[in-house]
Amino acid sequence: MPSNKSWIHVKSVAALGVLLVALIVLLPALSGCQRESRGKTLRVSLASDIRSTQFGVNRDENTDTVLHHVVEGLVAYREDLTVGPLLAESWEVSEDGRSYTFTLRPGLRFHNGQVVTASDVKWSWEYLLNPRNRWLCRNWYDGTGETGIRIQKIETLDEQTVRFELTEPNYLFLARMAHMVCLCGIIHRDSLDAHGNWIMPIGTGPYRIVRWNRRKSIELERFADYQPLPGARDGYAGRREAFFDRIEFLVIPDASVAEFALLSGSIDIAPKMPAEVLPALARRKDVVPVLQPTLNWNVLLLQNEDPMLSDARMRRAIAHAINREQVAQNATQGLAHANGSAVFPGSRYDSEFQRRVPEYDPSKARQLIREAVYAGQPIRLQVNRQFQLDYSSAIIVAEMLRQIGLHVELEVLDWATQLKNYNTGNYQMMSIGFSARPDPTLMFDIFIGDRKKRSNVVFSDPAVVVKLRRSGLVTDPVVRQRLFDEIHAAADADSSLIGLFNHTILDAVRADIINYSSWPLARPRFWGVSRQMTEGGEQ
Amino acid sequence: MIAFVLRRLTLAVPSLLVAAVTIFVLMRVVPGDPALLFIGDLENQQAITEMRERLGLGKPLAQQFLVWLEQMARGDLGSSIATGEPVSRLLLDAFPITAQVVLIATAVTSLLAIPGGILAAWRQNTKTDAAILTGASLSQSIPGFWMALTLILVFGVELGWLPTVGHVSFADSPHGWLRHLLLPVAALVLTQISTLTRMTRSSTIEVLRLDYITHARAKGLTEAAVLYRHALRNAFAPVLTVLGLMLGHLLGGVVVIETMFALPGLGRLLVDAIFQRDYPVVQGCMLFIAVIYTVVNLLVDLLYPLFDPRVRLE
Repeated sequence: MPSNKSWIHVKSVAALGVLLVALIVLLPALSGCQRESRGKTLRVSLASDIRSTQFGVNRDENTDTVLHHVVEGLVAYREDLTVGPLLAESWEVSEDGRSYTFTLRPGLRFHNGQVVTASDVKWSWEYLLNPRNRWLCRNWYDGTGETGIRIQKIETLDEQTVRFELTEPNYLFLARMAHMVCLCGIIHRDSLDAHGNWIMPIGTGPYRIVRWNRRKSIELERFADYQPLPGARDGYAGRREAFFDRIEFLVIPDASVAEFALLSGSIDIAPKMPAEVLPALARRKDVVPVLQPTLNWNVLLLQNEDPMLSDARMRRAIAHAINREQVAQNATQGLAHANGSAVFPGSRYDSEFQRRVPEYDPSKARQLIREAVYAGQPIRLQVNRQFQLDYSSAIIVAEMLRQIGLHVELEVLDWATQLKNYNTGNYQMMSIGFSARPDPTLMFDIFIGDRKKRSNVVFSDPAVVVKLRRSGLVTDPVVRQRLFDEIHAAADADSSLIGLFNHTILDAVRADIINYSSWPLARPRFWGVSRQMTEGGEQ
Repeated sequence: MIAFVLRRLTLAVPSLLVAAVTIFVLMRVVPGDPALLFIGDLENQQAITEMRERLGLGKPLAQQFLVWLEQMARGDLGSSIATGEPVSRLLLDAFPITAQVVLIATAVTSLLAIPGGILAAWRQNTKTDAAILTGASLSQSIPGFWMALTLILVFGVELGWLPTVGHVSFADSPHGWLRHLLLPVAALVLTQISTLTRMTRSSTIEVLRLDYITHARAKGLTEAAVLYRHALRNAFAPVLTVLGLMLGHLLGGVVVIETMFALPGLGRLLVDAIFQRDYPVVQGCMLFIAVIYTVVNLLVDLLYPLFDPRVRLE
């Protein structure tokens, strides 16, 4: 028997040995072409798959990011948040401010080789504005939306010129048209089938879609006939020159997985990484962190219809109890500074008035809650864990409020539940982040408005609502500045919204990728980006 | 046997119906509004209202359920709220990815764990037994995500041998398919191997104590013949039960492994759909998982007589 046992033992060990040797031999052999064909393809992580190729119909931020490389509008935002030309060479606004005449750049072509004409612009806009096509931003232009823009007529003047007529002048028309969320893309008619059903966008962008592996990846190919604007890359406007033959967006939902994929060279760029990974990335030579302050804004909402928080003294007490700079620094690993205003620091409408917020003064806060006869009732602060900055801000804010004697309880919800509560006003306090809106009117519009129409607004003073509407109609920057300062002062005194900080986003990039940068609207762009030349001369 | 299969399948219908009601009600009880999530950061109340109407979310719950049941009876699982794709197509895309990883991992796990368990039982209370048990305990005590991260760090980041994310279909590139599957399969094997090893060991130890094994040895059979021909056949039934449960559980989606390796499998499809309140996808996935459990359990029951002649299908 011992001999049999030994025989089996030897066989098992031998089999295990063969397996291990095979594995050791196999793995490096398999790895042979891991980095094959990396040179001409840029690989980028995408936190979720695109929802569709129908811009503005079924979209989210990732969808927009991809489609902005494929489809272009007449105008686009520059990095300084002004509106610049894209397909339009120039435009003129009539004296009464109601008509906008755009002249197209000569020689523009769609991905199918057809020349772009003014009638394509008219057709594209009419397609978008047709209720049957369910474009989600139709209300921005049909007079039913908050900013009241209404397009009365679109007409072609010649092959290169198209005119939009509005029912009344509105400063926000170009701002809306350039808005990155609702791409007003000019597409060829063949983007639809004979029955008018959507196939795929035939746009004018520097890349076109060649393959969509749902839930895995989406591949774009360089459009050889693309004619970039002269000058430098500038936000979504400016020079859009494609250096990579292909861009492959890989769906990687988890940030840690994206980080490892970047470190292993499986991807070249991992946009919007959590701030926590910065120290680890900064230690490496093969990865470069790219930091960019953005317009995304974290705030604390106070429900002023709540029996306790309807008392303005309670809201002011909370405003005085929060050290905003400390919240900004600690929640973002020192990457952001406090901003209590909807106006982005450094924007053309930033002013000394916009920087005025209730000073951090715990003793004043304690005095105010005594005056309000606060009896220690619990106050629930709603937050989610999907967006880390909302959560980390909430933890710090809750602790600061406990320091002045408020009984604050964190209520951690999933994002879907919190969003519903935000939309219905079903909360006492809420820590939430707002995505970037390029114009201050649009940013203030998030929380100021008629509560009878929108239950998610927190400030409904009719006089302030009128001022906000006016800020979207007037064109004079001086008048707009005055209006924004007055709106901020009123909102600040009300303290139903306590602005905390603007996000600084972190994009992680392989060191051999050159000329990648971010911008205040925080949408990644991959035109103008290239790979460092190797010794063999290949990109 | 056909009668047995038919009876089991008939019995599965009420179970699936109960599962359908439970899934439907649970999803509607959880707060959240699919229309709101779909519209996202656009302020468009009219679009939200229109979408709710289109999705039938304003109808009474019972009516919504009947509509869904009627669709199901026609073989239509509905369409995703988020992407508009038919749920059946989403399942057909996602399930093969999960199935590839799970079936290969289960096969490899069985190939390693069953001989390992037998060896440990045969060499009970020796250094070999201790080594196998220690390995099993170690693998059981390491969480799946940590195991996956370690493999990614070692083989993907440090050695650069294997890709850390994504999936390539076999038809596109057999080589790429293999490279992309190695790490997820390894992670799954390492997290599952302990249960099967321990089960094989304990059931083999019980069988090795029986008289007929002594009798077989007394006949002069080799140890290999005693172990594999006589001991294993009787010790295998409980192992098969565990294998069946494991397979059913894993085929329903290996969320952690799919997330860590960015594999668009069934688990991730379900979790993403839950977060998006994509009711048709969640309902379709859950029902599909219930069907998987039913089928796998049935297969396991059909396999019992092959290993243990005392079992009869009645």
